[in-house]
Amino acid sequence: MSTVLVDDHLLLRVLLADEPPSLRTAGAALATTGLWYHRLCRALGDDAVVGSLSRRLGAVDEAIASDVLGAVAVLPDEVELVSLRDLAWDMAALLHEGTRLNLLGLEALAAARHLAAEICLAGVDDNPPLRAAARARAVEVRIIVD
Amino acid sequence: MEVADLGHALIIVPAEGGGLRSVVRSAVVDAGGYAGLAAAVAAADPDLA
Repeated sequence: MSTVLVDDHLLLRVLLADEPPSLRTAGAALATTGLWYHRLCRALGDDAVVGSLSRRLGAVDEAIASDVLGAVAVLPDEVELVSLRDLAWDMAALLHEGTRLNLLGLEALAAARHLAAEICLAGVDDNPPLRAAARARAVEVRIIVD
Repeated sequence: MEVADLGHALIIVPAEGGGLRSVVRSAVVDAGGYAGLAAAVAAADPDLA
């Protein structure tokens, strides 16, 4: 079974039942990384999102709006998230080989290698250093624009 | 209707038009869109860029 490793932009669309049609073929598995998921949670926790959601839910307390966001952001079982337990050594090895990526990129590349997955990035999240490092290691990267 | 049980509160929204997920999607748009929100996080933390 093939696996697509999605960034936070695409993950949010999946969580909001708006998965891009071109993201995966039938039966393909979904995965993401801890830091993409962390970025998603931080972004959704922005005061502007919480405030808007509070108003849209009838001026509910912002703590409740925040809890709603947390409930929507819960990763479904079908989305795999590989632990650093399985990635940390490879991330360090990538650095020792001279790879110049930040932690987010290192985790994504190591996770894709671990899962034999294709990395899928939203068009607005194109990451040339990650693409170059992935290409050098025969990891596929696809930009999703629909 | 869609009901979300938060444990200490029940959120009830019309199911028509996408329910709770649609409301969250609209809140993200109101806040400037997800791209801008993620960019702000990345600007604050280069390891998330």
